[in-house]
Amino acid sequence: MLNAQNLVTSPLGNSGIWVFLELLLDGQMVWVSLYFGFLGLCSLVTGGCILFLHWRKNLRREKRAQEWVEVMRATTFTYSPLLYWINKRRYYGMNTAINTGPPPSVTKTETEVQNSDPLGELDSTESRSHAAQESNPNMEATVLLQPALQLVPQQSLPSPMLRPQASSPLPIPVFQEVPFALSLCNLPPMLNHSVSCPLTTCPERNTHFYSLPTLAHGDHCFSAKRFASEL
Amino acid sequence: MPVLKDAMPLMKESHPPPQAPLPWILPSLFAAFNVVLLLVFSGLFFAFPLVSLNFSDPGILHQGSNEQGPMMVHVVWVNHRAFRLHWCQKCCFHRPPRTYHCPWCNICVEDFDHHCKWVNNCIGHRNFRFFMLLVLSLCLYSGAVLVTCVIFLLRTTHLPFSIDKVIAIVVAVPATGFLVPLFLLLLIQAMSVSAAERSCEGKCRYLQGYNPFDHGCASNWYLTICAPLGPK
Repeated sequence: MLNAQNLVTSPLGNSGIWVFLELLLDGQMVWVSLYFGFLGLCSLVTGGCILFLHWRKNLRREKRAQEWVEVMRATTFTYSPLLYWINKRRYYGMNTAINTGPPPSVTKTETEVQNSDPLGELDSTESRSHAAQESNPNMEATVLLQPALQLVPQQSLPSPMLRPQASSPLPIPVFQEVPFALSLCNLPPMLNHSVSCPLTTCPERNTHFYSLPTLAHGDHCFSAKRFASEL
Repeated sequence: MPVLKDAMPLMKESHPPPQAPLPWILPSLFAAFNVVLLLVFSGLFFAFPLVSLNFSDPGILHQGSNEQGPMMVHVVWVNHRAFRLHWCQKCCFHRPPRTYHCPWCNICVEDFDHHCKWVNNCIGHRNFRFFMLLVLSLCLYSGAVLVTCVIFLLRTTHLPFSIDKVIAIVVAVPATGFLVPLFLLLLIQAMSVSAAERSCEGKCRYLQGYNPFDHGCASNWYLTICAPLGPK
């Protein structure tokens, strides 16, 4: 900022233009020009670096996704992001569980489940904002407070009703029809960053579920370097 | 008697004993300390979160090794609340609860909050704390600039209108313009963290008013800000 004394001592009054001319005559303009020039240069360099780092970030994400595909194809153990998510939430103290596979029996036929995606398809090509959106009223429902849940694997379009079996004490949820369910023949093409290929069959695998600490030990050392390089 | 009265002011006007001049370095050191403090705190709380938000991993999730296709319906229980998992058509796997696909970044993000256009990156599980730190730092910075300008204008009210006052007003107006929405954003995000909600979910999305991710205000803040993130 300019010194107020310059305005007081100036014989021409408080006009900013005259102050500017005085500075010019005094030679201080050189330093002011140098300052703003250096500031502009730093801004250009910083902006260019940020742009370059953003481009590099996108490339690294693509490369990391492709490496993940290769690792998942070559691996002998089974890794699931759902298990990773559940293990982490259990570490945070939440009571989480997931059930997959054919149920031993079915008792109750009217159990509705809350949809995990109340906003619908965020990855739709149509424009969607990230503000609160109306949830699909057809997908929300009440939930029975039961500790266990048997899930029915559905290879085709799901049917809302299941055949009850009297022997199991556990309730079986009945899911609403999913009209937008895709057939296996019309799956989208695999993107560069997305992983794995859609499976048309479910081959039998000797699944070995690795615990999170085991994966963490091997993955943490690998990820720490990437995190450091990413920053 | 007037002589005595005249003598009084002369006694009062006696000069104090001469003091040694203060060394120039002490006031300059204090000024330098203030500048360094400003730079350090700005860099620590402002530049570091801003830069790291541009390039940090928000919590990208990829497909596992045993995906069984979109026909398989997965249900996850979280504290006695069931979530039917959605199939991500782009990433080809069943997304865990609160995991959404960002159309700008084309990735699935764990605990997705929103895509921040200011840093061109998603805000998710692994960088939400940096986002909160950045918003807080920006609020403090804008507030400090605004308070400084207001104090300067108040203390120079008796002085004539000068270019200094013009610049102070020119700086204070955009500082106010940034401070108001930033403060609102900070409040909204703080309320969301307290209730263990996410921006993209909105309010009243949970059935019967029960949020299974809510552990209480203190625990929610601890899990969001301090809890270890774990491996990627």
